[in-house]
Amino acid sequence: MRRIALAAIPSILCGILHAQTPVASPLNPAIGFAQRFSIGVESGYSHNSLITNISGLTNTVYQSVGGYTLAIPMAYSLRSWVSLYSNFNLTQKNYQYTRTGSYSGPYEQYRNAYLQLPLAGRFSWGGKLKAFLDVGVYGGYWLTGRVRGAELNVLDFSLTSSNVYATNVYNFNEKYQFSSTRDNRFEFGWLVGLGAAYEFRPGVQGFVEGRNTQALSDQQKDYMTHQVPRYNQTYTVTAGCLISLRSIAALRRKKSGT
Amino acid sequence: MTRFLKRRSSIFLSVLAITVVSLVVSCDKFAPDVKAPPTYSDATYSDVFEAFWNGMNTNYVFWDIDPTNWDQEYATYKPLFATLTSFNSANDATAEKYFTQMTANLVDSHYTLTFQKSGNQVSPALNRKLAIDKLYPDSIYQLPATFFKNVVASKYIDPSSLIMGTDSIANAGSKIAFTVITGTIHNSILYLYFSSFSFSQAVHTAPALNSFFNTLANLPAGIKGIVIDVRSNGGGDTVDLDELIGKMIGSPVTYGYSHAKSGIGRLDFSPAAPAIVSPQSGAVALTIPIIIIADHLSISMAEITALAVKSLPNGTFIGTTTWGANGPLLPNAYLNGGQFSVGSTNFGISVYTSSAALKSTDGQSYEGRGIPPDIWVPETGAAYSQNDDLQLDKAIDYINTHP
Repeated sequence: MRRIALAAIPSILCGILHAQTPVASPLNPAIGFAQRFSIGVESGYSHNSLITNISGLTNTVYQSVGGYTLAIPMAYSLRSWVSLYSNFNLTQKNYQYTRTGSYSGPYEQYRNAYLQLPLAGRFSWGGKLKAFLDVGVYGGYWLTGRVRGAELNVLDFSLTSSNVYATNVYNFNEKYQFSSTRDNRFEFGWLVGLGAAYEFRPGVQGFVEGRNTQALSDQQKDYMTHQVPRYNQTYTVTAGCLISLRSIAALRRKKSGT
Repeated sequence: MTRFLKRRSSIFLSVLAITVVSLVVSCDKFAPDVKAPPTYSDATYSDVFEAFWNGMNTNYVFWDIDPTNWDQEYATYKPLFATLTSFNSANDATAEKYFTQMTANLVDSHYTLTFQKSGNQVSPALNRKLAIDKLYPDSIYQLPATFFKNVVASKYIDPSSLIMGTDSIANAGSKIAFTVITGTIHNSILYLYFSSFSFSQAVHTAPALNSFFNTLANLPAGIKGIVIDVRSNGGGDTVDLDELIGKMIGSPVTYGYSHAKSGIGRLDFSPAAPAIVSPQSGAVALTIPIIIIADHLSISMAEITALAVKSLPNGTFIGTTTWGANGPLLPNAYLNGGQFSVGSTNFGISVYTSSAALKSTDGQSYEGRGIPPDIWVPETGAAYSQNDDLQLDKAIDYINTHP
């Protein structure tokens, strides 16, 4: 429900801007910065997987877990069909360590928030309704984390009526404690996205996008021999809007009556 | 214009194609393989070394506190194992020596290597203690097997209250003696000695255990304190902690936290799990002193029980620092850590190691160091020759001076 509400924010804002923004002239190479540069809001759903190999562990898998993403998108138009695009974002990259089969029950769900700054080229095709492709790179910082779940507790026999280890679980939900030896909090990688944008008025557009963000840096520091790396792979589906600075200025002028 | 649109289309499609190909190719390219230890080849000593090193790297639960530089061990011993080119008894002995050397300083005091072909066993903790004993005689003085019957039962326990028994019980594939002694001292202290945590196997020892718990449940007014004696106790079933201490408390007591492995990385640990002793049916919330006597040969559950007693507001630990093996043990698959085996017919090793690490409520790990007593009183050969039990003397004195 919270994710749906977050996703609705840009749509509402876009609607307000659409209703109030005056018509501006179409973008072309001759126009100035205020008309080339757009800024807006964006939010949506994230779905992260930890790409690694734990085949040596008994009945254990990593599973993908959903989350949210919030962003401030920015675009600088170079041509009518290509622009530089970025969206400063806070994205959850969640995953779950899960025991399966006869050991099922215990799990650890990690909910990690990353602050990210991508830089991409946005290639568009179409008229008022455009398809676009984003291709670029990003850098991020692992801001915070939380882990919740259930694990075996071999030193508390009050948890179940029997003393069977496999059913003797304790529940936890706590802040993730970073390890300065193990955790690499800086992340970089590449991204690619496909989406569609609709230009309500010149300088004002709403868009939806599906994006894959693939880390190229290990989630761990290089702290041991034979380290098996871990990479976040995050799919996001977002909705947002962009408005040019010129349109924002026009809106202000209209409000102040000048 | 048409040419320009065509160029745009081809750029767009090129970028799209590269992107899609990258997506498909990238997903599974990161996958170095660290296998389960028993699944490695044992075709050469180097293969067994590789399996052992990786098995330890993944399954050992003390890497966050262990001083051993495991990467350095890899760099040092990999070329040495490579020189052992064919399986024979001389190379077996050399390989055993290398494995012994590279594990000599591991803090896990349960840790034991069993070389499957020769049957030789190596316990780094035992070797360290024997080395200390050479420098300081009596430092690991071992109470004689007859001590509790000949000295404690004969000299200290009120004869009319004395109940004791011995069973032969199964322990790690062999039979050991399980002895229980109970009774009162000066009609004012309730005493219990047991040689291992094996309450569920009690037959001849059952009367002594039942007598102790019955007395505890209907504690005579004259009893001023409880003494639990776990000296030279090698440990056993974790559930016995609740059976014993859970009969003396009115509410749950957290005495520490354990953590286990939760991943393939050396420092992948699960969140801390509280170690709790809980009141049992018929428990009496005691306010009188509860003394536990333990020594350097109190191991595993005996030490964990000492830690639990130290956590009681009326609990006191008297004796010497315990062995230092505090981690619980269970089959590897439960916690993705602990015991494992490598190799097989050519050269195999069974690795006995803790499945989880225990820390006290203040975050201290006593693994490899032992639980320190509240009141340090050493037992010596000289005292034994005089039929004196210095540690029990101190416990009696403590109870008499702490009403």
